[in-house]
Formats: sequence, structure tokens, C-alpha cells
Amino acid sequence: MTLKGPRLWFDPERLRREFDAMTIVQTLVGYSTLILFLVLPLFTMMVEAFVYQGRASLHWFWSIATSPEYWSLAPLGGRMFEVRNNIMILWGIDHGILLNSLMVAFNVAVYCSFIGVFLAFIMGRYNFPGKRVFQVLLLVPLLATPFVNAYVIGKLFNPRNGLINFILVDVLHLLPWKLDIDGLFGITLAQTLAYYPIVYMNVVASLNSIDPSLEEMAENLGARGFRLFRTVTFPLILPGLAAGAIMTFIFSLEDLGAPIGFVGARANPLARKVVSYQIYSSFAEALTGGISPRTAALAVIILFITAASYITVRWYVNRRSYAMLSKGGRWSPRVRTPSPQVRGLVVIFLVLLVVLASMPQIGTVILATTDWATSGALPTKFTWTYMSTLYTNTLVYHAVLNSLIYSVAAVAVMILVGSSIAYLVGKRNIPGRGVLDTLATIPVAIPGISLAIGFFLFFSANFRGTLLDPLADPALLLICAYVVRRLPFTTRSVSAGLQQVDKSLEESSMNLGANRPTTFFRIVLPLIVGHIVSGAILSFVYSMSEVSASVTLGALREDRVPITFFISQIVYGAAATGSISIGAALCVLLMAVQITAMAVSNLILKQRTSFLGV
Amino acid sequence: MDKRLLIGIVAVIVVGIGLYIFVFNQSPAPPDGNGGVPQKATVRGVIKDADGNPVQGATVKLATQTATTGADGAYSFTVDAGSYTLTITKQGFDQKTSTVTATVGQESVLNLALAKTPTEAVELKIITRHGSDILFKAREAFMQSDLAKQYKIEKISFLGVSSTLWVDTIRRSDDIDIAWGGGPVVFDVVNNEGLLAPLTSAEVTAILNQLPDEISGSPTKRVSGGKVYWVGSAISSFGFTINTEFLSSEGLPEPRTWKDLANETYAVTLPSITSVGTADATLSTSNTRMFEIILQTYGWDEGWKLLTLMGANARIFDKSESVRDAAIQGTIGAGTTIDFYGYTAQLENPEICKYVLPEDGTAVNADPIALVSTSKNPEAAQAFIAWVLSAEGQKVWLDPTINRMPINPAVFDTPEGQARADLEASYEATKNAIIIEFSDDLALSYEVSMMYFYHATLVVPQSDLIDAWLELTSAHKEGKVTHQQFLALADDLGNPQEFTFKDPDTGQTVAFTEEYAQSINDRMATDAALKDQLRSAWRTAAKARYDKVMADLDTLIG
Repeated sequence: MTLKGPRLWFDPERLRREFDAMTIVQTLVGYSTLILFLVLPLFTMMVEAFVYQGRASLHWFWSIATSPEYWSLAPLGGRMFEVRNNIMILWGIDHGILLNSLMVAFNVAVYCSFIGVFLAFIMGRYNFPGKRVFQVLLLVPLLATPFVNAYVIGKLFNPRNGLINFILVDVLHLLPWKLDIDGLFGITLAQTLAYYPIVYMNVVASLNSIDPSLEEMAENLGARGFRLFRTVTFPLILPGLAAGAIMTFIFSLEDLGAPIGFVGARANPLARKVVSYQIYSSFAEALTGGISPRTAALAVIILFITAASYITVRWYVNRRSYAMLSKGGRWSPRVRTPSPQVRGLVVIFLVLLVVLASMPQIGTVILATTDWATSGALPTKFTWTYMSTLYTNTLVYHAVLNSLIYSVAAVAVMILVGSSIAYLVGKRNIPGRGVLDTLATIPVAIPGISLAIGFFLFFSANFRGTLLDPLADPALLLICAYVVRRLPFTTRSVSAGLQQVDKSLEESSMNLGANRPTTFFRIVLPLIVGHIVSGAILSFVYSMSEVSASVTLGALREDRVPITFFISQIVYGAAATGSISIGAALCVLLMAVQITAMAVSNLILKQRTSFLGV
Repeated sequence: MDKRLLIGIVAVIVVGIGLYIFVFNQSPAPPDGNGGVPQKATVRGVIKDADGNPVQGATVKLATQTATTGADGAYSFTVDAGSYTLTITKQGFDQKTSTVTATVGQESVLNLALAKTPTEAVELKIITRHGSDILFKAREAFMQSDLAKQYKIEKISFLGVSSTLWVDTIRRSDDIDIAWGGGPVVFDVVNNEGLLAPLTSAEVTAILNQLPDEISGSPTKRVSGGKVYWVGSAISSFGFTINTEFLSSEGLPEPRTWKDLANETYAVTLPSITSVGTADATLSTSNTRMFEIILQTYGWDEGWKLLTLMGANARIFDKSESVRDAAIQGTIGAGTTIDFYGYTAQLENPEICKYVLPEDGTAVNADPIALVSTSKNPEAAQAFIAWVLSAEGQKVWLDPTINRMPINPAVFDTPEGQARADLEASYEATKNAIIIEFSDDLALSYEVSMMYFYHATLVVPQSDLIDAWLELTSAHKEGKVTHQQFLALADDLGNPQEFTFKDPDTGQTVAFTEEYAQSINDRMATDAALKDQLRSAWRTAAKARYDKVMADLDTLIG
């Protein structure tokens, strides 16, 4: 019988071929981790969205879809380019909470793409002094400064005595009026400056993996300058660019740092009008743990948008995958050394960009080492008082040690689970791999606080007395929370690496008699080890600065607190103003740990890898 | 292919049968074949202590069964015939084990006496909203005290859980001893859930009797049925922290009353710069209390008008700490804060910051400490509470970075207290401040509705409110409207009697009167769907109201 039946989803022949022992183990590990630590805890929080008057219903979704509060093409308010009392107001225009979030995220993705592509070209194609230093400095905006963020934003953007206005107007006299950057526009600006490194790194990776002979051929055929870029280079970096841009879009949708920062610093009503802030404040206001069904519905919508945009881009990128069979050979890179004038311009531009984008981080350092907390626009004296608490207070040592242990443990699990998932999705043809891939990516779009409270309620109710009981010992659950929340970084990075490993390499190995595990460990892993390390480092950096789960679960046992909980206690717990500076000192320590990790990865990998591919 | 299909079908059948058997076995087992008469024996007895008094609450275990003794110390089991081991456990007593033989149709009586164990090292667990500075200082000092040694308290651990999760954490941990700090609102929520136990030990009772039942008209204890469920460990007043540098450079007067904060004087810097700061009632319990003070000082209608115009003048922050920081930084000129934020800001920045006790009245709040009903060591826990309330324990408030008002003024007689004459002066000022007749019961009767109404009508549509207020105050300043017209339109912005919306229950149009707020208060706390519908209706109505004032103003100016 040569006739082949129709290809069903359940195709026993294909299943037999695909499901060898290793694939089964990997599938089980991937699915059980995501179901236990993502789907179930989230479900307990989100189920309210689908219930109305005791029955299953889409009422709350309908009520959001029909309310101008969430969605209005006509402007609901806001101010932009309006000059009043000698201040130019840049707040953005209000189009309803949901549309605002989408517009901010779209703008952030577009701006980040421009900056990212431009930077990638400079860094990828030119030689200039200090290039290696800039490779690290350009990543500084990725470092989080939780809890002191708002204070620093207040110090920078205040139209009365903020540092930015002080420099632009009082010192340089560049503008006739002061600027009031706030609200939706402020969030867009802050997020653009924070997230451009993601696009930049992806595009750099794509640029570096382009076979130079392609561009050389084009040049031989007469294409130069912009034409060369438009017709050859750009299409080749487009998958990397699309991947980076969609990641910044998703990051912007979920981001709480900027809205909380602006609301905390200046309380502009427009800064509250984004979805992530609405979800966060709905959790913060409840006194008995229940959240509004409308908010749950809003969270479901954001999850849906994230998953949909992610799936679309994945589909697009897969259509245009350019596997490089000649991997392993190093081509002579197309790097030029421009004239001294151009080199000077490049360095000046980069210094300005780095300083501007790293303002929050620089501000944190200033706050920690001077009297800036109370001194007006400029600090007046240097002091080591706040920094010295880092080594005089033994609790700091324990909190940092806890965070390090949790993050390292979490990263170890992430490497196992993340590379399993990436391998299944990228290289195995098993049913449901799209679901697995999407599940492993959406944690970046889930508001941390809903996952944290979901963790607390789900595990303290169903796992009493086990190792996962947060009330007995939150340590293991904290690690699991870090794993789920930061898994996308590892998975995406490994996926990007796997995309460049051609299937023929694996097939050759298996033809020569190696079984699947041998092929995976001896052939595939060595080829993607750089991506695994860079993904792991990024996961580590973000685990160290994880806030939501750390604050919610870490509070449950004093000897288990991670560094971020400790910072929140210092900043919010005490009435003294010095506490914000001590909090800043702790953030400096946190950044030091993170930047060391990044520098190490940069040294090892020489920035050949992208870390957020799709 | 066929073979595999066959294997598949067989596998499905096997799994199906397995499931069927499993489910079937869940149904109750059929009665045994003894004619329906179970062959049972009874084991019973009384547990007493060494003095012969019955022991209540002892856990008695026999095979898989467990019983707890009542006030008479008695227990009873019905078991199959056979030989059993009986284990009795009770906190504070040695565990006791004994064997008993149960015979069918007979009662086996086993009375046992428990010996008291020498008290073991005790660990206290405290759920708290206090900052770590307060907690660590208190713990360090308490561990040196005689009470700690007497009750063998060797470890105290703190759970800095956010208020949202207090009820769940207490219930699920089942071993938390004490709740401390976070304001009366949270404690009343926990108490209403039945999770607080009355304070009864000799040490606490002695010190409770020394403390006044109220300070400046505010209760310092929550008493119910003659028993004390929480007691204040510190007191606070409410007012504003002002930044004198901001006010003088903007040419604004220093506010002296709550009403000043709602005055159009402070609207001149809008919209980029805002002179006033306050915090969202749904996110800050201290600001919730301040709004209640305003509502009781001025009455419901005038109070809401004041709150509305204050909201129009203000930036509404999401944390009380942010209000304090904004005042210190000079982002705002005056921020509503709890007293110790103000005093600390004043102490650290004497040239810029000042704490003002409003001349039109404030209220004093007790910040509670309480025994949690899940405590396994209620005696030791109450020893800690007694220490916190003592002159010795109250010293923790004197720290120059903490600056809180003690509940027990005896602390000012200690040498450490005498070194803080400034704090004692503030304490006296608090006691002598214009204290309004503040009713806790009244505040609680509309608290939940008030919080969400504030959020829905002032926080969410604040841009619209500010726009209307800005146009109105400019028109007034430029003489385009008369003072009478200005007052009438300002009244329209905030008058709760004219705030009408459709009640989701009855479908009728109602106004947000005090009675209405009270009538829905309890349901708003429990019925998430109703809460959502009301908040949505309020948001829409508030926006419409501000738009209407704008339109009316346009008609007036032409």
C-alpha cells in the first residue's frame, strides 16, 4: 500500500519518528514547567475575566471594547506642544487606556528601530577609538534601578528645578521655554532610551552574520551607498530588526518602570493612562487579594495582543530564514576606519547618546554618592555615607547573597528548560510546538504583580507543607518565579542561535551513526553555546533586578529576602530622606553586579550573538 | 500502519478501563456482610494536668483518628476492636503516649495526666507594615529585655507583607503571632475576618490600664464585647508638609488650613507645575483618613466640594511616600502627609520643609498592634506587645530618623525621652491641635464607597477636572465671570448632591449622598462586579459633569 493517508494532526508515523526518548523528556520538562508555574497560577488570577453574574460570559471584554475610556479615536484630552506659563508641555494625547498603550508601544518600537539600526551600522562597520568600551556602555540603559527610578525621574524632568531643564535652559540657553516632559510622551521617551539596545543587539548580530560576499557582489554589480543598503543589506537584516522591534513593542506594553516612575515623581494624570499601570494599581488597591474582573479582562487582552504580534513576527521571520551553512568559517568583516573627522563625530554622537540614555543610571550613582536628594538641581557635595552602608550593614550582604543564589539557580534551570524548548520548537516537528513556543515567550508580557500574587495564592493553597509552600520557605518558589519570568530571554537567544545551525549538520551526524542525544550534545550545543551564554547572562541580569515576585514572596521569610525586597524596605519603609540615597547605593551595587556579568559575556563572546531573536 | 493503529486502539481501551475502575472505586464501598451492624468499641477519658485541672485543647491521636479535648478535658473515640496507641500533645506540656485495648461493646476508660514542660525557646512571627528601621531597632532592644528572657523568646521574625495579602497570609500561615503597624484600616479588615484575638495577659492588661482610652477624642483601642482587640502603639496626626522655597519662589502664601489647599490661589501655576500634592485614597490609607477628616470637619457636601477642588489643584500620587518626596524635592509646594513624614522632613531640611497642623482641624489616629488569633504562643506574644507599649519599648519612636508620637507619654520621662524635647513639643502640639470631633464609626460606615468614589471621580478623570478648573480660574482672574458665577460653577464641579448616575441595582437615577454611600459600602467591599459597575458609572458621570461646567462657562463668556 503506497497510498498515503491525509496528513492529520495525529499522524502516528510522524510521532514515532519525532518522539525518541530525548524528545519525550524535553517535551515533558518544557510543558510541565510552563503549565505548573505559568498557566495554572495565572489561570487562578484571570478566570474572573470570563465570569459575569455567576455565568461564563464575555461581558467584561465587551464592556472594554465599547467604552471610550479604553478605546477612543477622538482625543480625550492631553496636551502636546502647548506653551503655557513659559513652559512647553509635552504630555501626549489621550486616546483611551488600551489605545494609548498600543500607540506608545508602536512609537517606542519605531524609534528604537531607527536608533538601533543606526547604531548597529556604526558599531558593526566602523573602527573608532573606544569601540570596545562603547559596546558595554550602550547596554547600560538595560540596567534596572527599581524603586529609586521615580525619584531620579523627578530630579531630571521637573520643569521647575529638574536637571534637564537646568542644563538646556539655564546653562546652555538652547530653548526659549522650559520643557515639561511627562505623561504618555515621557513614557515613550524613557522606554525608547531604555530599550533601543535590544534592537541594536539584534541588528548587530544579523549584520555580523551576513556573508560579506553578498554585499561585495552587489558592489561589483554597481550598487553603492544607500542603494546597496536598501536592496541588499536591509533585506538581510530585516528578520533581526523585526525580531528586535517586536520585542521592544512587547516590552513597552508590559513595562511598569516608566509609568510608575513618572506617576511616583510627578503624578501626571496622563502617566496613569496605560494598561500596565492600570493592572498594577488594581492589584495594589485591593485589601483582600481579589481583583476587578474588568482588570483581569484587560490583562487577558494584553496577553492576547502580545501572543498575536509575537506569532505574526515569528511566521514572518521563519519565511525569511537565511541559515548560514558556512558557519564556522570567519570571513574578513567589512569594517572600515573612516577619516579622523568622521571618527570624532561618531565618538561625540555616541557619548551624547550614552549619557542621555543612561541618565537614570547616572542619576542613581549621583544620588548614592552626593547630597542630591535634598540639594535642588545640582548636588553640592560628595559623600560616602550612603555607599558605606553597603559594607557596614551585614543584612546587605545576606540579601545580595540570596539574590545571587536564586538567580544562579534560576539561570541553571532556564538553560535546561529554555534550550530544550528552543530545540523542540526549532528543530523537531512535534505537534503543539507552536503552543510551547508561545507559552515560553508570553511571560515577558505578563504584569509581574499578577504572576506574583497568582503564585502566592495558588501555591499556598494547593502545596501546603511542600517545598513549594511560600509560607514555609519562599526560596524555591522565588527561583521558580524567576525561571518563568526570565525564561523568554534564554529561549529566544537559543532560538536565534539554532536558526543559524543548518539541519544538514545534524543529519550528517545521525547518518554517521550518532543517536539524538549524542548529536544534540556533541554537534548542536557547541555551535550555539555562545547564544546560550548570552541568553543566560541576560536572564541573570534581569533575575537579579526582578521586583514583583521578590517583594511579594520574599517578604514571607526574613532570612530569604532578595536584594530588591531589601531596597523596597529601605526606600519605602523609613521616613528619613537619607533612605532614598541608601536605596540608590544598593541599586549601584546591583548595577555593578549586572554590568560585570555583561562585560564578561562581551569579553567571551565578542558580541557576535543576538539575544532576543524570534 | 495497521499494527500501530491496533496498538493505539488497545492502548485507549486499556487506559479507559483503568480510568473506569479508578472512578468506580471512588464510590462508597458497599456495606460489609455483618448484617449491617458494625462491631465497634468505645475509648474515652479525661486529660488533666499535674494539679488535676482538666486540660482544654489537647490533641488526642488514636490510629488515624484525632480529637481535641473540650473545656472538661474529655475525649472519646469509636473504633474497631483491637489494641491501640494513644498519643496526647498540647503546647506547653510533655507529649504522652499510652496503650489501650478496645473490646467490642465495651467502653475503655483511659484518664491521663500531662506534665508541664519547661518552656521551650519561643519564636514570634510578626506580620507588619513598619519599615525595617523601626523593626530592627525594636527587636534589638526587646531581645535585651527581661520579658524576652522570662518568656524564652529567642527569635523574632518579621513578615513585611503588603496589606493586600494580610488576610490570606495570616490564614494560610496559621502560626503568625502579632500584627503591628499599617494603620487602623488594615487592622479592622483583619479583625472583621475574625483573625485577631483579645489581649488578656496580666502584663498587657496592666499597661493597657495605664494608657488613656482616647487621645484628643480618638480611640486608642478597638474594644468589642468588653475585650481589647487592638491597641495603638503610636499615634499620628495628619496635616501637610510644605516646601517654603517652592512657595516663595512661586509667590504663593503658606497654606494653613485644608480649605486653603482647595483655594484658586494655588491654581495659578497649573497645569505644568502643581502647588499641591495628595495621594489616591485607594492606594494610601493615611490619605484615606485625611479625606475622612475633611468630610467630617466640613460635612459631606462641603467636604466633597473641598476634596474636588483640592484634587483640581493637586497632583494625586500613588503612595504617601511619593507625596513626601515631592514636597522635599520641590515638585510641589504643599503635600498632605502623616505627621512623622513631616517632622522628619523638617528635621532633615530645616530651611526648606515645615510640617503644618491644619488650623481647621485634624484628628489623631492610633497605629495599632494586635495579637493574631493563630498565635501558638499567645502569652509570649502578649509579652512583646506589653513591652512595645512600655516606656522602654516606646523609645524606638524617639530615633531621629523615625520621629513618631508615642502612645505612652511616660517615655518622655526617660533620659532618652528628655533628649528629644523637640519631639515632646510636637507631641504636645499634636494634643493641643484643633482636633475635630472625629467619629470612627461614621468614617467606617462609608469608607469603601468613599475610596472608590474618590478614585473614580477625581483620580481617573483628573485631566478633565483640571482643564475645567483652569478655564474657570483664568476666566475669574481675567474678570470674564463675576465672583458669584465663579463660586456657582466651582460648586457644580464638586457638589455630591448634584452628582447623579444610574444605580446598577435598581436602574434609577440617584445622587451620591452620604446615605447612599453608606447603603452600598459593605457590598462594594465584597461584590467585585457591583463595584466595577459603580466605578464605571461614576467615571462616566464625573467626566460629563466636568465637561458640562466647561460648556456652561463657555456660554457665560460667550
